[in-house]
Amino acid sequence: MSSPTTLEYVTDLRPAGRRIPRLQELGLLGIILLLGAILGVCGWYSAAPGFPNLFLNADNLIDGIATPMSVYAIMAVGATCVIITAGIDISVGSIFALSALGAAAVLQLLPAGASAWVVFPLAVSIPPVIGTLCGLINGLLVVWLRIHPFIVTLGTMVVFRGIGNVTTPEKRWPDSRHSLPSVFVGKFMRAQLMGIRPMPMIVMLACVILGAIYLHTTVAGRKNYAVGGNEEAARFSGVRIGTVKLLVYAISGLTAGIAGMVYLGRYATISTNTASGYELMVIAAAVVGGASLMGGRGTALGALLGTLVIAMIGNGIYTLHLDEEYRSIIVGAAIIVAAALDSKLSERLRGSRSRAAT
Amino acid sequence: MRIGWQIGLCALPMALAAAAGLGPAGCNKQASGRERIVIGIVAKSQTNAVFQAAHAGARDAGKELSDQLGKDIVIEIKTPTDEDPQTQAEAIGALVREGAKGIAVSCSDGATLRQPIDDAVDKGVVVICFDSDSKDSKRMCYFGTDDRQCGIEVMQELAKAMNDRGTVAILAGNQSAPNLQARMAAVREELMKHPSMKELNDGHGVFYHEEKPEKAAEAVTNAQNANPQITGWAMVGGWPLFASDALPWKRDAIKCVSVDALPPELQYLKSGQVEVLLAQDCYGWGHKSVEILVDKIVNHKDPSSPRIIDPLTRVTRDNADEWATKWQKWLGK
Repeated sequence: MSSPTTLEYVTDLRPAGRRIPRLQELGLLGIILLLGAILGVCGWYSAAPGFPNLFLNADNLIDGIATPMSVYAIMAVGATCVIITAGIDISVGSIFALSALGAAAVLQLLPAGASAWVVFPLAVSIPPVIGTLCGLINGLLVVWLRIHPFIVTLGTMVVFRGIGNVTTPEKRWPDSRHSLPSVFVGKFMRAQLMGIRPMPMIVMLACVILGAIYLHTTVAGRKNYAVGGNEEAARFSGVRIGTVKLLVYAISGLTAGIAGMVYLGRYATISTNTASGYELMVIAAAVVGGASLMGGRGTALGALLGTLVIAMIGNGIYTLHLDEEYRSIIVGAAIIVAAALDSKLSERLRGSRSRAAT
Repeated sequence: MRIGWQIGLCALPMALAAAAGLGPAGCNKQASGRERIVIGIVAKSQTNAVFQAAHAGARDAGKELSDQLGKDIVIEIKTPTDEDPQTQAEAIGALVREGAKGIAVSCSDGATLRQPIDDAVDKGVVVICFDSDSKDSKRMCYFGTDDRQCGIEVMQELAKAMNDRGTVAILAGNQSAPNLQARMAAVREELMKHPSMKELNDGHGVFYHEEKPEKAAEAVTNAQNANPQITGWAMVGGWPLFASDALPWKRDAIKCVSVDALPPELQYLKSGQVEVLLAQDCYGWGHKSVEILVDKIVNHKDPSSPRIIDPLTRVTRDNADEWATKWQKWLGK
């Protein structure tokens, strides 16, 4: 069975106007619609007298699903980029926390009435910068030391978390003597528009769109697929593997930093153990969304849809009045099924390429 | 066809859950014709036995008050499996959307939960905090231990047990929990009043850990082995004592005073490895919280104070058996 060539990954020969969502995303969309239908029916049945459908109401869809999932979806876009190259980054939760801690440590030093012109540039720049730096460290270690990325990011996961602990005396920011500027608390991620708080969702969609543009329309993005699909073939084709890997880990860190910014804006506080365990949900979302842990496959849209599936299942626990213990079983089952389907699909794709090549 | 299989397989777990949820427990439509009042309970974690007791108290209060008032008091427990303030925040939001009239919360992180609690109160839901407060929020009141007084009593009992001399280490659980930080600070404050006693390593004797029995036991064992000069432990929560054989010292070799007196912890009194347990009324956290909420919702009666303090009960070798029988009633254990 021959491996796909680099050219197949680097060049998309279909005319732009006739591109359709691929099989994986169509399947995910179908799942989302079906889940929505099931939960919508249950939500109507479970609603208290005088209350709207427990699932299909704007409050639940935005505050119950879109907003909580935003941080996971943002990080899943970055995780997808890494996974496409057959890498993995399990330090994203620690980078998330460290980025938010860094921003909060600076913002709390500003006066309570500080101007938005001072507050917002700091709030939107510090977390992504810290995140990107952490990501670059991961990338440098993976490329230079040639150690498996799981080991590298396992180590940096602990190191970054430790840096957060050491540099935060009260284990949270703001500390007991300070508070964050009032313009940050009320008008950043909690800004209201027609009764909803759309900012986390807007940031999430922006990250997904930018991720899609990067992966599908830029040469740098297409090279990720080449490296993930067949690293040796990509190397012989002249692709600079080290640069590609460095860039994807930087992107993973960047998205973790952005997610930290969203969290800090929502809650106006951050502690040193925030986001512990988020990396597993992020990777699960990326895999459910179609990213293959073998490399060579995944999309930003898939990352969003994968996160949405898991978020809907989690929200469904409330709609169905199930005990919290069921969350783990149901979400875990969905992840296993998605991974199994991913494996079957990968086999079929390899088989069809092999037949096409001969 | 392939897409159909994929959709079907992925939706199967949810469909099964939906079928389970549409049973009597999931149905929200009133069958009895009585007024339905939903009270939500969001404790820190399901895996901590103190909150299992609180859940039992809440459920019992719901049944008792339903009979007394002729209403359906429904207790919805949305405590996360593991401690996570974001999951607690989502649970509070879900309870509000479900139509809960009252919510009792034990905050994993009071600062993180301030906004969700304020949002709930702004939507007309009565919110109280128990065990761990979010004091800057709009919650109606706090019911639980006076954490500062708790820390003071732990240290006073330990000083008595250690004959007022020795080196003390402090086991402090989750480093971002405000209630635990308050207790820990009070232990230190009281320790300063005993000049012949000192904190390990000149003020670096506090050990934090994940609030799980095995992690707490590991923290104690590692600390004791690395610092054999420790002669007393002030535990501001009883986490390691939920597991058997968690303490690495023999009877009376090291003095230890801990908070909470759940059934698994009582064995340490009998084995002599722990001198005193200061019991919080974990069952009462749930029972009393529901009473306070229902009193406000039904009778429009405000609590007596914004901070309702529940005094600790001193449990020793002498009254351990009597305390154990209370647990048999509360949890059937």
